[in-house]
Amino acid sequence: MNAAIKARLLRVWRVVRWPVILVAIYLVLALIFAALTERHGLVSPETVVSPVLLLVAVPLLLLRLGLLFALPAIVAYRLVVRLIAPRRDDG
Amino acid sequence: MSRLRRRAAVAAGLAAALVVVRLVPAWWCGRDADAWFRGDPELQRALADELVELEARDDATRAAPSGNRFAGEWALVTHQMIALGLAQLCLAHPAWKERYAPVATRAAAKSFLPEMRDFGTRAWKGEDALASLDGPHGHAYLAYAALALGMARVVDPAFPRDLAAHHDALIAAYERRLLASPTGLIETYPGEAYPTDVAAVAAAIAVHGRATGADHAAVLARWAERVRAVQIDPASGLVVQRMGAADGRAHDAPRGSGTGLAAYFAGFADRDVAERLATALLRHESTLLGFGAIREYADGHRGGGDVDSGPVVLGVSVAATGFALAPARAFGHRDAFTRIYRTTALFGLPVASGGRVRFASGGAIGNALLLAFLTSGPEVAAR
Repeated sequence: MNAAIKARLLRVWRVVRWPVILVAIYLVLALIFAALTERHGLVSPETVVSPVLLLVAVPLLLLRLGLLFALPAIVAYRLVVRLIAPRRDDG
Repeated sequence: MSRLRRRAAVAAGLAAALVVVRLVPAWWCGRDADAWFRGDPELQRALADELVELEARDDATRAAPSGNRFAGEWALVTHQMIALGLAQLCLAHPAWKERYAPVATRAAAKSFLPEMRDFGTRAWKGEDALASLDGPHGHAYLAYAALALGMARVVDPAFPRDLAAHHDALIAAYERRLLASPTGLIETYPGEAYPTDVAAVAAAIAVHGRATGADHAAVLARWAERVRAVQIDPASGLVVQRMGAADGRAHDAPRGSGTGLAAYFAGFADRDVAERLATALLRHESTLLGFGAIREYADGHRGGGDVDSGPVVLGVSVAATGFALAPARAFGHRDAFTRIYRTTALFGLPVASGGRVRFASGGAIGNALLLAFLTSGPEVAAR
């Protein structure tokens, strides 16, 4: 891999790294949550909700909201601004 | 020129972000809404099979001598809703009877076990509902089990005779108590009547008629008339959550959670009452970005969450929102159903695996309720 391609991939990675990392964390949390809730859900009247389940559920739901609402909006905003705004070398 | 273009870019970017926020989350969370509304057999079967598996695990736990048995009020509702959901599927797809009707009967029979109604027996200071059928006390909570038994009896040709005899006796007691009540209310707990529970009583009586051919028209007509006259708040159209059984005085506010579940139960007994409750309930929908949720309290009333409503956040309740799925589907409110389903999927976290689907946040009771509500329709009484 030559230096130009490497630099280009690095640039792309810098742009997408946070969304990719957050999606990866979300998917891992979702898998853990699915496994933890096979018997008892978050709504479980007969048992106290376990701290482990809460520890997974709270960040999972916050990430879900963030990834569904904030991330697409930020991506759309940045994409449109990048397409329309003058580049630095435009003067 | 460059500064103007930069400002235009920011404005266009913000507009794009707003459009995306309005469209993308609603699309993602609502991908299955239309399939549920149409009654997609694959989806219905995937959730039904999840709950059949849950019943099988519960059977195994019960068979074990030291098993930690699932019992109490929420267990009663869980087994009841599984029985109702499976029976509704049998009505919608008669070919599925062989697969689901026996499980519906098993689930309904479990909801009828003494340990499921311990909470009611304790509230009545040791008086068991089935041991006091000749008595004056309402014990309306057991109508949840009676309704499940009735629906299982409708769809299962092998419904056990001994259970049918208990069912007949309980329905006769409810009919007698309801006809004797000037308010059309019977008690759940001493001095307290819940119109939602009484709607379950009416539903149980109506379904018993379907299963046995018995004529319950007089008591059902009287119940429907009393609901309209006494139990519905005229201003909001919602039913009062808790009332005095003898005097019909409100002990709580008109609320969405009680009305949502009452609308579902009323559908078994009287289509007009159910439609009226559904219309009022859906008037209390709050919407944001394509998502919908039901406000718990009628305008002019305030309060927090409790065991009936679940958490109340920004005025909307988890229970009222979930319950609204059933009348929204049964009475063809497609747009409201779609918005409310999106909210359910957003927080319910649907998980599909091995040909089954479940809502991970919901647990046993949440998934049992959703099976009944997402398949509601075939059980609704004819006009």
